[in-house]
Amino acid sequence: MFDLLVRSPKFIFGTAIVLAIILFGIIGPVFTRDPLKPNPHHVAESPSGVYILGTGDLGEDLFAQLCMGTRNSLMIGAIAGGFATFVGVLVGGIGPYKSGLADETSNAFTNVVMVFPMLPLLIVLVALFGGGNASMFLVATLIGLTSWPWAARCIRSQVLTLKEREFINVARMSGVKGRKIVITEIMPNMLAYIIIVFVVSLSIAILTEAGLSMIGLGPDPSSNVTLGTMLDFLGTGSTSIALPWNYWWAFIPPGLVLTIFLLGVFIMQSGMDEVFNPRLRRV
Amino acid sequence: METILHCENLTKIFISGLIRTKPIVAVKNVTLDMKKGEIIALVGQSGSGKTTVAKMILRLIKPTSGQIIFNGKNALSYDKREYYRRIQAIVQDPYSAYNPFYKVDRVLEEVFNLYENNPSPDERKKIIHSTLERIGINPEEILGRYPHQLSGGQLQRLLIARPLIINSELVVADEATSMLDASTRAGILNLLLSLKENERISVLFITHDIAQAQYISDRVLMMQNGEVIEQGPSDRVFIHPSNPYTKELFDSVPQLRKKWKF
Amino acid sequence: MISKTIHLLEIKDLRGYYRGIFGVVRAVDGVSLTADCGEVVGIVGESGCGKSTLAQLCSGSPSPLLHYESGKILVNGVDIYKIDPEVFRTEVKCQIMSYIPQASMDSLNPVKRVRDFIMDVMIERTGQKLSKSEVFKTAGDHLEKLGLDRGVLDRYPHELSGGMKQRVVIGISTLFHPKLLTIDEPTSALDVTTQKLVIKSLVNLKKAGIIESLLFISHDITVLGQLCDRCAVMYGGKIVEVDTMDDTLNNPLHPYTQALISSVVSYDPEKMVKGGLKSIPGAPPDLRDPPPACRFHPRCEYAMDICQTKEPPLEAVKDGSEVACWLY
Repeated sequence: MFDLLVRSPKFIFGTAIVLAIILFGIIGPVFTRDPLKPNPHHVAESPSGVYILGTGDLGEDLFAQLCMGTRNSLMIGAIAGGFATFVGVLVGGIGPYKSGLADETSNAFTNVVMVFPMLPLLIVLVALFGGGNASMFLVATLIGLTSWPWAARCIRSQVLTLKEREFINVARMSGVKGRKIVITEIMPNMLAYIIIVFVVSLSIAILTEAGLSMIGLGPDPSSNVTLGTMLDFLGTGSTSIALPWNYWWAFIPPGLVLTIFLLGVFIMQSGMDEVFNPRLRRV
Repeated sequence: METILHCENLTKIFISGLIRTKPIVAVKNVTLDMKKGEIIALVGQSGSGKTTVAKMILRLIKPTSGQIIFNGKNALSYDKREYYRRIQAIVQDPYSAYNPFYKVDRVLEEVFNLYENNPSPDERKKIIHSTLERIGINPEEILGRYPHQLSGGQLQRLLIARPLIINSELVVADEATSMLDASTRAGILNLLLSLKENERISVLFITHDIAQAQYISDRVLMMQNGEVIEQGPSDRVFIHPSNPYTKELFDSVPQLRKKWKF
Repeated sequence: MISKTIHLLEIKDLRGYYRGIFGVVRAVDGVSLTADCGEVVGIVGESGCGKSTLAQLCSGSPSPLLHYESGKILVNGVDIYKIDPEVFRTEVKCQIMSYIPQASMDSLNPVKRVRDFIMDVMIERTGQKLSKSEVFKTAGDHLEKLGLDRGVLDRYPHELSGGMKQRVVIGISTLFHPKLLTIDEPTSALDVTTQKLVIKSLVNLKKAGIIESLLFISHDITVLGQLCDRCAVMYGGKIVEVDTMDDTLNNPLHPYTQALISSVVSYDPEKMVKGGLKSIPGAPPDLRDPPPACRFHPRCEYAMDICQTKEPPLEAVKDGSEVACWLY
């Protein structure tokens, strides 16, 4: 099955996009100027030879911001996504395997947290713990803490499916003990799934952070740059219109990078779905 | 002939619902006897409880009440590894029985874990090869492949090789042929028959298919709604059924050479 | 003027392939078959032989991955893939021919009662608003012919047993008295007693004139033997033999058919038979890369040199029998 995957054009295309942006985020900031350094001589300049993407409100190099922003957004996404996946595996994986009371409890817990209105909670938490100068790590952690139910649900359904498969019984009848069954039988089959869950959680987290930053509740913009903080001037302050088109170099690049990244993840996912989803493959 | 398996008043009640409200009686007071070297068919339509009986005998589910005596000793008192050395199973869906992540060799190798002392890798390889040849499989064709590369029939044969490798006494075949094509099915049925004839292994053949049960079994137990409604030697039950439900069942089986009159 | 009789269903050199990332699966590769008014034609074959694909193609609406490649399917002389899709939908489908796919009894909408379902179907087909009492009377009469109680109309699918659901599906598909009903494995998931009931209702439908012909697809030749007049055997995407049902069972011509018959376990109420079943070595061909020439030659005990080089055509051997084999 994996051989089909690496030949799937959608998967290759999507992964290429995602990897390109990750690479951009890793390598970009090495070669650019300090993104936060204000330069009062070149305020709000449109793109030119010196400043590839122009400058911002305080004269910052916007291209440098884009590079660093991509890196930081990805980092936040990875931390938050990793957190959510970890909790998701714990809550969503152990419960259904043990079944009985453990399953009912973890399921009920997941459902309660899932139904809770996350965005208001997130806003309150960030405001509470961050004050005005939240660190990126704090924001990432809080996002992770509130987005794990989705991951738990996915993991849970996969574990439930695997539990019904006969090879678990065959392993039991070969004398393999309970804990070893989880490691040798279930985990390998979950690996691909967990990776997907992680990647999607990462994308959700990046988007959530951007949203928080746009309303001023993201990481402290005076010391951090993310794709979200690059967008937080929209609709506020100097510009009263939501999308100031005459200032396009300030918001189109970060928005574009966000969109392209999410598109890449989506296409990658779609390619994987084609290969792994049994219903689409049934011939 | 000695009795190899004796089940006494086996009962299994499942309780569904969080608040423990609805009991489902899956198996009720099932008593069965199996002699060494016999093939017994447990026949029932879907929902009759036959798979639950199999799972209890295989110690995958605990009975609510009743006893399972294997070779004179209570089944639950055996050490698990010793138990599975003597009883093995073949399941319905061959593709579900193999972990898609690993090669099929693993299924054959892991039975050696049931021994106290694992034989050396060379010896293991020799035993596996000779067993495969005994059941008519060319080892080169099978070893090193992944489950999705082999056919259902081949996968089932490999599962049948497991009890042969460790010299089991009893094989539980739970709808082992239901997902196979007619032509492959014949091969597996004949293989199970040869287990009895050549290896003196007893087989508990669980099925809903009356024709297959008649072909393979020496004795048969008919199940309905969790209970055994008729049992006896196959040449009596299949030809002169006494229970009215059994009679109706047999009347409804399409025969190759006889047409129904509508 | 057409001098020969028009067959109700005529399939000529039909090809239908599945195309996807797994490659091209030549599921139906040159199939020709006819069915006439009043006949019950069975199609038998093992998994992967293409019989379900053939049925889907005949229905005129194949599933997304399946592509109609070439060949003709003529229903009452009309090529269903050449006419306007709207005309096909309103005039041919359900009125002249009806198709019941595999596992269709599981696809009844669980939140609709049977009568609502029927109402929807009737409104969509006839395009008029009909009175409830009229519809329910017609539907109730129709279901009774299948051995169901009128009360079934008021039930939800989960309140019905497997056999009842299957008969409801048959009932809905035959509301407009199609001339040809194509049904794919209707009884595989049913108990043996229910199976007999469903087969009986199909025979009754035909006797009552509600359907004129039946195309019955199954892997179980013992079931086909109970109600079919003629039988076509499929292997590897092609038809290898067409015979009367009795001839297929008692006098099979093609080596595959012979092997199939000797591998079938049959219940015998008179004597016990042990041994004597023969299995066919090897496995059915992968239709992405089928064997050249005759597709059965790698497993055939009579294989000759020509079988590997030239494909045998499906030819009439004697009255009513066609075989695709170099032995004839």
